[in-house]
Amino acid sequence: MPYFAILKSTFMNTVQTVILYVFLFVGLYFQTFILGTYLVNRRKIRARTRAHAAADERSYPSVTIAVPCYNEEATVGKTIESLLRLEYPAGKLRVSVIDDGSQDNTWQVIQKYQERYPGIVAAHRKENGGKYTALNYAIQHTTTDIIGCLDADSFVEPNALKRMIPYFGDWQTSLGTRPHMTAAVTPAMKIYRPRTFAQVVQRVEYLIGIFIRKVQSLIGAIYVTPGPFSLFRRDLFTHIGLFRHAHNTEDMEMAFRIQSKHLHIENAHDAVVYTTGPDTVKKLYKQRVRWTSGFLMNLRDYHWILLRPRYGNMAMFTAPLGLALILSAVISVALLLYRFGVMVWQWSVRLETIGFTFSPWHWNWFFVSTPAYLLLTVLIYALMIGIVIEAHALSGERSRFSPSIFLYFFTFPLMAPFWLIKSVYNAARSRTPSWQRERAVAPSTSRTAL
Amino acid sequence: MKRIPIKLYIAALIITIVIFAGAWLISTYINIQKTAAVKNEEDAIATQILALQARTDILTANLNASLCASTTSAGASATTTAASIAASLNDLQSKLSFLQGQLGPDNPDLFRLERYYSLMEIKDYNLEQTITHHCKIPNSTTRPFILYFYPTGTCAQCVGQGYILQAIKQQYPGAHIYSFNYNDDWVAVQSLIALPPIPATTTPPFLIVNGVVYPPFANLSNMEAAIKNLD
Repeated sequence: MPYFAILKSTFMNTVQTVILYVFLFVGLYFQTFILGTYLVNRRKIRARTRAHAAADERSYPSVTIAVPCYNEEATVGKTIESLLRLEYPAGKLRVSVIDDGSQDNTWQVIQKYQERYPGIVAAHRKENGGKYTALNYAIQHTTTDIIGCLDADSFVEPNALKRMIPYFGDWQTSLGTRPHMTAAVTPAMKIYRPRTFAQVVQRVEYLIGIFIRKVQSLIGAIYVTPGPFSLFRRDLFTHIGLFRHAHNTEDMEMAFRIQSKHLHIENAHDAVVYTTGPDTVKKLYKQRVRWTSGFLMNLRDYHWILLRPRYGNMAMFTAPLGLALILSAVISVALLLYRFGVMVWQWSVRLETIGFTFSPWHWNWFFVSTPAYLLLTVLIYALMIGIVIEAHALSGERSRFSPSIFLYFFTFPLMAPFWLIKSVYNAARSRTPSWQRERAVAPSTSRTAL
Repeated sequence: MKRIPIKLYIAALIITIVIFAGAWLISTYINIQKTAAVKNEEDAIATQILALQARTDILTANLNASLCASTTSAGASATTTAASIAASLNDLQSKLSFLQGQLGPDNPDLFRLERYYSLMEIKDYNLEQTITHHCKIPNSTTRPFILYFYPTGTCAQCVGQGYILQAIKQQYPGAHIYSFNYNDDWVAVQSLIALPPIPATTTPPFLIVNGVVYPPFANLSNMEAAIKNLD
């Protein structure tokens, strides 16, 4: 029996160690790859930013920004006002606000803006059908060269549009006439005035997202065109079709479809858009369950692109890595729960045998734990701090170190596995999280990196 | 769609492998240093035990009164050295337990160190027994002799017994506690197991407190009662 016990114990330890090191390797490889890609392209990014700043505004295309809203009376006015402050050639910018059957005073609010800004703001009202139907409504009633969308709880910096447009390059040439043309441009997203714990940790997460999305755009691997201020060429929708329901993640499906058609999605890292993040952990959980479930279900719908080099880095890098990270988080939580269970059992035995007694503690360097996995974890966290600092600079802010980074590091990895596990369960059962139910607690429909 | 940067993928892979290897080397180096430190400590304790043993042999043969009288310089020195060895063995046991957690139970270097440690425990136990019998020191609550035999592998009762022995160590600084792996087929440990009072049918875990065999104790009070009963 003891020999069986040894074998069992050794096997469990070996399995746990192998899993731990495989996940650490994947995580470190991901960081090395994105940092390497960024460093290799840093000069190119700066040169392109300078070139875009010097672009001739007279050649800019006409743009319509669609604002789909459902019960957004509290924030839609501010969203429209931020759009009206955009620095863009006069007469070339339209704002199309679509009330998707709101039950509050949203329609009255947007009507006032239409009356005050005729020719610029257009108010539309339709029966409730979900965000993707509101976007499609706007697309079908628009003739401008570029169509953008902005969630009604998000706000743009005045120079955001001007900084994004040059990324379209030769927008006058019809889409599909040349290979690898830019079909969409995404902005740099930040959390609007973070106040609560949930918003403060999201602020750091979004900063990391700015960096990762820029690198993803460099290798053509962006997997989402987020609701807050993604821009699309008008002819994209005649080329590949309108938005779809797509498990309530129409912006993710659109990115998958664009990539699968060998078109390109750019990222304007210095075009800043602020979005209102969920203010409680519960709301954050619901939002992330929807995003991650959507990612998994869209990935299932587009499984045929996975690991096929002809579909580029999204098929070879972003999507498989996203899956690996979700899987690693789910397994990590199982291991963590196992360890936690063992710890609780040990404490209960201790309490039962010797009661509340505390051993005197003396510092001794010998007892400092230095396993390789700990050193690698410290390195991964150090690299992430570097990424956050660089992300500040990338989005036009002064590079700085914020203590909230540690709050993010120590809390987010503990929270994320819960919504990831729920999402895997949803995806396995093909359950689409209710957009309406989420909106009952969280107005935000924007998204960032998983 | 942009082309796949194969060179970058490969470069990142190589860098990741190098970082992994670097972390493994640093960790291994630190653990080798710690293992070497434990080995040095074991050697130092072994020398102390040998010195005390030699002194005891000489004094037992020639100067009985000096060995047992702690007021004489030789007796005081023997008592101090014995206490110092007990403290060093306790410290060493903590370090070996820590290293086992770091390196795993199958590490061959650690296995050798643990056997060496068991040998020193046996030598110290014999020496203490010699001094106790020769000087006719009665068993007492302040100086109990505890032998603990545990089985290989996972053992639910051993966890609780471990906590109890830690608490005994704190509450009775003069206690002599020796732990042995019952399933270790090493001749030194097996010789100890073959000696009375251990019945042949006893299965681990069990304890011998001042010469009496006990099953694992349910709590600290039970073990303290066992120590006090033999006072």
